[in-house]
Amino acid sequence: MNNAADTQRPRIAWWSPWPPSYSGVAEYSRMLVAHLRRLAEVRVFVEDALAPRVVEAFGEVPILPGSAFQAEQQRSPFDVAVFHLGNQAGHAYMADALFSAPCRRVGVFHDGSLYHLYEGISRYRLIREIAAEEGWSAAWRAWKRLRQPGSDSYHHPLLRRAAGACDQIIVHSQHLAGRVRAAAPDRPIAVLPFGCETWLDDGGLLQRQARRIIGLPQDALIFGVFGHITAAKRVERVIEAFVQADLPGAWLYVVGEVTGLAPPSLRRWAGDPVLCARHRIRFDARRRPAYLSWATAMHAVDAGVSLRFPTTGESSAVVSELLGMGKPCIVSDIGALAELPDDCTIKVPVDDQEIAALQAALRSLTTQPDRLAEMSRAARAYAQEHTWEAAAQAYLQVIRDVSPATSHVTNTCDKIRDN
Amino acid sequence: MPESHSQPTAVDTAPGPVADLRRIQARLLAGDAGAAQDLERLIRLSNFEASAREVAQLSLLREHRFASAWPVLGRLIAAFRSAVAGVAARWLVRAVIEQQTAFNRATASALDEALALNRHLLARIEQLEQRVAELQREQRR
Repeated sequence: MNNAADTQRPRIAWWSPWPPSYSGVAEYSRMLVAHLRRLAEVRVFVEDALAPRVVEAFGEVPILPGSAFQAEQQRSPFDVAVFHLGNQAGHAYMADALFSAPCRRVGVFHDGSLYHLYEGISRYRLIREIAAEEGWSAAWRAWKRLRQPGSDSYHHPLLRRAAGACDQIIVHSQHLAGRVRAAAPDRPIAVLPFGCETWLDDGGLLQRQARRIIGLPQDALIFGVFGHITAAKRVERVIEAFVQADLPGAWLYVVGEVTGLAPPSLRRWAGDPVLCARHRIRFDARRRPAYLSWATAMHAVDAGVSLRFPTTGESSAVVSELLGMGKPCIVSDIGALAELPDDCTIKVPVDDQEIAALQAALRSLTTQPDRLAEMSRAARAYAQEHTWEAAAQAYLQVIRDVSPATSHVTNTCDKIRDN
Repeated sequence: MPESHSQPTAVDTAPGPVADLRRIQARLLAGDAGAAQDLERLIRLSNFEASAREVAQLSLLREHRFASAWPVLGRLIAAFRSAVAGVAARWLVRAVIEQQTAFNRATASALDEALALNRHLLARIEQLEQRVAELQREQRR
């Protein structure tokens, strides 16, 4: 068996959704493994039913069904199993392995709740987990709320047992570190910021082509909103502020599936292209666009808007991608988003001042091209400091260091940079 | 002003949409007139692939499984609903599901064929474009 502390190339079981799964974590994993594969021996484990359809991105990284884990473990034991845990049913397949893998376990908590992960196994399992963590009265209340629309995940984080099963925990923000630490105070936690893909400043060449293909005006200043549209993304607030701000020459481009969790007012906007055109708003509500057209749409905009409330502490892959492209972002002043630097993001509160603050942010970026350019440079600088390569190095450091140490929070990225 | 090119990273050299987009960007920076068209081509093809994949995933219809969120009595309620549906509609629904699934599979298969043909034709067009460029260079000499 390999020893992670001594081995230069640890053998890692990487449990994560993988493209073409339509998931931010799947793209996150692909970007990270692209760099990690040089530093470690990685085997990716995906949901059995999806294994035949996954994209084999790198020849030396086999993509295997989760059910093959035990055989692989017996063939050659893993040093570490890394579990990418998210608040989605797509992560449900890894729950049992998380509690039973016969090697060191690293849990990467992408969200501050695992409610939908357990619901993805079965409603019975969800209720059982709530009972185990919060007691049977909480489970009874949760059972009754299951029949009502909307998500109850904000009330039941269900982090304690999963965090307790890990020898090491990785999160992307201090905010989420605090939430996980509250659930499992004795587990070591490392804060590894999200990686960014860095793009060349091509003077707007790619942006012009992207706008031509999509059919967006070349001379406009375009704000982009990206991702599944749910109530928590507050896109209707963005539209309200954009319409009230009445900024001639500015467009709002909304890309993402309008889900059943989106508020009715937003669905009305999405279903009325004439009204949208009158206010220079464009919806692109394709259900599952290919990543290439998704990235091209991001290149087409000048700045992003990514709001969130309530939040379970999740990081935004969209914001990281936009910053890497040199697009400053307007974000909610809450959770992980609040930790982004002020020189490349504008923070807006989630209270009753939200619309006014949004309007001011939209107006300042539209009317102050120098500020936009300055923030764009700062966004690129941020991305240069948070590359996927740096994230992979930080992962490797954590994997090598993994041990049942006393609870503490370290910023391994900073440690590596300092060295 | 555009910045100078940085060294390619591991992701640049790995196949995938990011690498595709980077190559297009590099060609745009180099003044390659065909890069814009190739970008559009790649986007259309990748959207086609994504749609074909989704059709394949959704092609198999399944019978509805009745459930109830009521504790204890839930299973009884679901069993009662299943029994009523079994008497009233199961055979009709199964026949319709079979017909629709057969149609969906045929559609998914046709899309796969169309996708393969598109890939082949695009590769052929690329070869021919390269050949035309070579001939133009030779003619200029």
